[in-house]
Amino acid sequence: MHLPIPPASFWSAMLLTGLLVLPVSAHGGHSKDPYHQHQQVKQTEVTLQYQRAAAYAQEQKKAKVPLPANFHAQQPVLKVVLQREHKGIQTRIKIKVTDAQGKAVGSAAGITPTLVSPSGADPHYMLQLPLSKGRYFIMVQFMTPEGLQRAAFSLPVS
Amino acid sequence: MSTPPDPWDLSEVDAHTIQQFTHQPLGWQDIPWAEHLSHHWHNRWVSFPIVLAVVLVVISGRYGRQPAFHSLLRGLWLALLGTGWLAVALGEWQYRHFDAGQWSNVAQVHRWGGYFSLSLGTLAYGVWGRRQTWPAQHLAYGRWWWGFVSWCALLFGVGLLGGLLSSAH
Repeated sequence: MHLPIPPASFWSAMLLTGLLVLPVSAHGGHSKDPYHQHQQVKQTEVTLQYQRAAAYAQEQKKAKVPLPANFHAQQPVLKVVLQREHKGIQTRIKIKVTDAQGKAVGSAAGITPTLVSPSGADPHYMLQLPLSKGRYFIMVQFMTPEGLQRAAFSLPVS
Repeated sequence: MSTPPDPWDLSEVDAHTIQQFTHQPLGWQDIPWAEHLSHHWHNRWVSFPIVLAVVLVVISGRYGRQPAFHSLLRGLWLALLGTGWLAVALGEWQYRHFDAGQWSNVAQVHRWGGYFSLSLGTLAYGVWGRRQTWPAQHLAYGRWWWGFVSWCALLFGVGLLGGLLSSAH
């Protein structure tokens, strides 16, 4: 069976598709980084970052912020930043982590992270959380002027 | 009298609850289609374009050449594409305007359902084109599949663009 040569409309559609798709697929950005996720909940932006202890320590050193007293140099860090209008906020916060099977990591009632640099540069909350390979679900609960809010993340650890 | 539960005690929060809250776009295979189609009355509308598309494909294939069916087919075809575009527009809007939780899932159902309807509409168009009747007369005999492929490529591009733009921060 011989297929006919495609008409101009076919090539036009192909060209248009290419023109539409290529610039978008070329856009990388941290949205594709599973260890660095953002979410907008009401007027609050919640950023979750899972990083190696050394990388976290280096960041803090650069920002001239002392590490928390109980910082463990071997345990990865779950860093949570809460921002309103691009400024860090201080509030009551609790984090619940479960694995894919629903088993809680740490306290089942939720873990209260440590507030770091409350008045300095880059105020954030941190929690040292050694996670083995697998998918984890993380819920961040925090208080805002609009009331109690929750943001949830799915974190694939490889 | 029982005391109200402490909202800061997250013992009752399980993986499923968190998963429902995540802003991660649901994949096609992750959407509980059966549940959406049968349990939530407002989502039964999702089945409307699917049934419509199946009816349209069958009628186009069997009666597409008979002029008596042309106005019916034209109406059904426009209804299907219109519903598809409405679902896509609604889904894209919901996806951008609601933060997390069930709404993002519903938005995904609308988006996926809408793109699916458009694809089915395209298939119906292709079947009808093969019967050499309106509105596919301009697709000359023997070339209808190129029109179909072009439509699919275009829809795929639009779908991919929408999906990527939605997940881009």
